[in-house]
Amino acid sequence: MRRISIFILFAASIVTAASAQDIIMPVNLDKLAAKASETTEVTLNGRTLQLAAKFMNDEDDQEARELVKKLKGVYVRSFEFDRPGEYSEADVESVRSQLKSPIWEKVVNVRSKRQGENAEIYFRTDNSDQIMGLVVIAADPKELTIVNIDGPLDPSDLDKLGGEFGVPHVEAQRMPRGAKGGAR
Amino acid sequence: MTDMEKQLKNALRRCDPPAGFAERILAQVAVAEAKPVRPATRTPWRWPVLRWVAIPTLAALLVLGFWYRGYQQQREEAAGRAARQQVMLALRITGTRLRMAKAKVKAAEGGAEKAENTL
Repeated sequence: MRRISIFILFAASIVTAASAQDIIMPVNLDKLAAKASETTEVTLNGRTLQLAAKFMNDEDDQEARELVKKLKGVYVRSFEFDRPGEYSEADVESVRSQLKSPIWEKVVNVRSKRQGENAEIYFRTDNSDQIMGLVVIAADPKELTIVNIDGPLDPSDLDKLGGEFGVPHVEAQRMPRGAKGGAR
Repeated sequence: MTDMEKQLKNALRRCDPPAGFAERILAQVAVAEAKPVRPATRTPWRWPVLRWVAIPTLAALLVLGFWYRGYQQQREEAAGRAARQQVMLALRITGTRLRMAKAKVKAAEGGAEKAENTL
């Protein structure tokens, strides 16, 4: 009996840990798409990322490909609104509440009351302090962006990410109001 | 008559069979006749209609297989290109947001330094 209860506790802890690591983009974020003037939605799981890596053969893609090959998922939700106040703090909180310590560590938290611009960066690290995930929440009065990168990242990868991997400034494929899409 | 011819004549000379030879042959014939004769197997392949249907069908299947393989490759390529585009878009958004956060942190640090200097 004792063994069974230990096993159940162990299994429950694994399930809890796993669910704590996976960020679920809440349903209400999808509802925001209806209010947003522009929506960008990217959902790429490990399989799709591997497929994408196969087609990143340009010289400029080299660094990005090395990063992408390691990743398990990339999820982006970005909403642009015509007017401020179209999204609520609760919408952001629904994501933020999933980023709990000790699994997630908030490394950047910039809040500007005057301009209403907030930026938060969270890392998930493993026992050897390797970054295993990154979440960026950028909330401006008329724009809300949530990025979730699942997979191992080196500090150099973050530098490269900041440098955009040499990704040219092409016009992003943005979806008009109400439209949803992106790689799934 | 040469020596060779003599040898041949000797070898081919008529001689009586050993005793019971004819009985043994007749017994073997009787055994062979007693065995049931297996009818010739009629495989479906012997039907001409089937042959005429099977060959074009196989050929069509082969062509279809090659076409489907090409179609699958094209689909995978299209999906891969779309995924690549999505990855680049995601990385660009992430990069932009990271740089903005970095700039805000720098601005905040600069503001704090400025405040310290004025004190």
